[in-house]
Amino acid sequence: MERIKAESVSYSYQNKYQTVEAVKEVSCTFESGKLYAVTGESGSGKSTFLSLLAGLDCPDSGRILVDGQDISQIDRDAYRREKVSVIYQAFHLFPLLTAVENVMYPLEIRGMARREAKERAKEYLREAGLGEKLYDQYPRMMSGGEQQRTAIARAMASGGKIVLADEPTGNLDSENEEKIVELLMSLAHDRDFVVIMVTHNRQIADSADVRLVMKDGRMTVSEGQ
Amino acid sequence: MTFYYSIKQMRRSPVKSLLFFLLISVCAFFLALGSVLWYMSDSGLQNFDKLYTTIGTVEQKYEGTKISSAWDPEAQEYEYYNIGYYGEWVDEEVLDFEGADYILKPRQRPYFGAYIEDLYNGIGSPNLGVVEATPLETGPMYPSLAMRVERVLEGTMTEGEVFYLCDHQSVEPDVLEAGKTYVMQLSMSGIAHGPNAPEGEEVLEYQLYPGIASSQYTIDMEPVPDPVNEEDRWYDEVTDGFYETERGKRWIEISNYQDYDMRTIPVQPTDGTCLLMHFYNGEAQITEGRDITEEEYSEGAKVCLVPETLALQLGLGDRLTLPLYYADYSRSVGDAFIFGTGGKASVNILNAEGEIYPVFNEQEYEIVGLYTAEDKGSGSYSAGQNEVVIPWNALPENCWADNIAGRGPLEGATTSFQIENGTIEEFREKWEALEIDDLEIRFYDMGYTQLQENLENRKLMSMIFLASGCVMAVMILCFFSSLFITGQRERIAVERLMGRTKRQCCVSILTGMLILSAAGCVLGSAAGWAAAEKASESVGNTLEFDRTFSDNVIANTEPETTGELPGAVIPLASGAALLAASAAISAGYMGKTLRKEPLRILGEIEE
Repeated sequence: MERIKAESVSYSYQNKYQTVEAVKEVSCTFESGKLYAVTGESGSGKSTFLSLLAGLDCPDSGRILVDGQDISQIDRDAYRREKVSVIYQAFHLFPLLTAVENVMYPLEIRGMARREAKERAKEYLREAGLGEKLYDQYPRMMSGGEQQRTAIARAMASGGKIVLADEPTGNLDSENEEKIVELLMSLAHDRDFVVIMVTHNRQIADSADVRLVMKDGRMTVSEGQ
Repeated sequence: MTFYYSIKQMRRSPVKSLLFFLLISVCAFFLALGSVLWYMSDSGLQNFDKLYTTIGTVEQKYEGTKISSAWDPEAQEYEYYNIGYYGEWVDEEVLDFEGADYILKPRQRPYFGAYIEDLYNGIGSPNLGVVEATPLETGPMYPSLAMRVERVLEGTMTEGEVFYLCDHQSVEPDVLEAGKTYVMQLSMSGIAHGPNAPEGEEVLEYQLYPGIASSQYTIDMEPVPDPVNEEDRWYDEVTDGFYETERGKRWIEISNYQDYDMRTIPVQPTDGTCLLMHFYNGEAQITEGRDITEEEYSEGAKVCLVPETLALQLGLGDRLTLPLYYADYSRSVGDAFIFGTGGKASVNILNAEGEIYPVFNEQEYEIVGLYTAEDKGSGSYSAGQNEVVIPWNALPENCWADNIAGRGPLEGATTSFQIENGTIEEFREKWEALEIDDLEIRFYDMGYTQLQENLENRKLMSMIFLASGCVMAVMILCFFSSLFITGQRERIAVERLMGRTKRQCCVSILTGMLILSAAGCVLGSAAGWAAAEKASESVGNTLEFDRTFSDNVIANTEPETTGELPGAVIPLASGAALLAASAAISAGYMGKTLRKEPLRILGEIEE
């Protein structure tokens, strides 16, 4: 089922010195139950494209449709709160919150009572494969893989079924790398998520259901679509 | 949730949070202390401003001294002495210069003579009299010449009474002839002396008094010509039909002198009670009723202050009619109506036409205050006997122009003005720039300048506290905002990516910081308030000032002399201001952080 559709999306921004045309005329679609890999060199526009998908900004031209709705026409804060979650290379867990509190956070944002949020958070952590003894640990006490599992559990807790992952394995060893990709894969395949993963890693990209390549802001190669 | 995570955030960085709390408390302390002290100093200054009055008196200086002489008939030689003399009289208008910011403008005040019939009901004084008399033997008026009263025109002497007349001024005293009758105004001068005086007997001696001569002036300070002044004016020989002549009519007029002398009270017009030195320095104090108000002075209300001694069976609220018949600029009321000597017309009461000055203004005045005055030896600056005070504006301008019986230079006791407290130096500088050397201005401020200096120092100290509190607050808030907010860019970005609005992010990040700020503000402000109270007590115990003249005009008043503690409002306000600044500065930092796109922030962090 088609969840996201980008139609001739272009976006530019102004840095200190010049206007950067980060995304140019990109068109593509993303379906439920698939893991997408977006690859490209640094500065190719893949992170900017990801932020457009996350609704953090609007395209200069073209449009992005989510479940048929143009996200520039909807409440994008609500969109991020309810439909999409983001996973990062550096995990970006709240350092002063425990693993379970990190996962509770998006639940509580959505108004869930604290006690219930805690139970649900534990379930997500369990599903993400984090050992129970780590629930009350702070991120700095956990390994990279454990932190990323917590981050994925937090993404699952966000409620939406769109996961945007920005280099999710960039800080992990190869063993953890594989496990995280498997986890993301299972999110897509078993839970019907759309997982869009930006990565430099060719091998990981190859394991995705669909591989997209960006160069100079253009989606130059689209494999598997 | 927001509250919980914010507090947790603070608890997880206890050193930072504690430091922030302590520093904000110190800032709040300085701000509260500074603002409370500033308020107290300011209110103290305002209280003192109400309590104190600054006036200036203007006196024309002598241009120089000259040697003068007087005949001493006993030594048969002249006595020489130095006397000061004035140059041309300076007009009060020179004081109306640019930059002279008066509350009450300077003017040379005359006092008026008012004839009050009920003032005296005795038989007169033996000290003065107008009589026709003849010498027992022909002889000069020095040494004492025995005279017999032939007719009493005025006074307590009796027909046939023998008295001694002596001229102490003339080198060659006139010779009065036996068998001739002379009319003269007499003034008692002491005990008869010399070869003609009766041996072993103390009898009174009189001298001549130039009552028939006029001393009238125009409003422009020019003497009004009076032919008597050019003639012999001390006595006249009485011949048939003498009283039909101009000179004779003058003697008839002057025979009313004692009647006026006994029944004249001085009326002092002024623009403000404080301009009268005896009120200013506390020699005179209102004991019943009230002072004349500024509005009454300004509108020229028909109200007056009267001394308790001028009873006249009148009291507060009663009306006193004042028939004013002459104005005198030559002396202060304290000099003219010397305390304790009873009524005195004090000037020649005849105008240049030889008639008693007619009443130039007669109005009723409501008595609004009774005062007591005592002679504390301040000379010209003393109250006058039976002096009634009325607003200058109660009379039409210069309505006394044709009744001026005396004129003189500007004197401190008759010419004064009021300026703002604390402006003496400013005034003095502007005045000295005019280089008018003929006038001397003396300022009286009851010690306000010194007090003001003390309070200004306190104010400066409070400003230092305030300024240091403000600077510290800004620096601390900037530093900790940077620490708490810029240092939490990651959290902000992640929260934004989780779908929290910018506003929610602000609340989430700032709640903890603002709670700490609020707690610090409350603690610091309370401590600042308590310290200000202590400081106030301490200053109150050590700051002494002279209140000798502070309670002038109205007796038995207890003025507020120190700045009042402002209550909790000011420390609360300073704490609230600090909290608001804390919110504003942190919101500024927050806004700056929120302007950045979250993924870019995370990207920067990852790099």
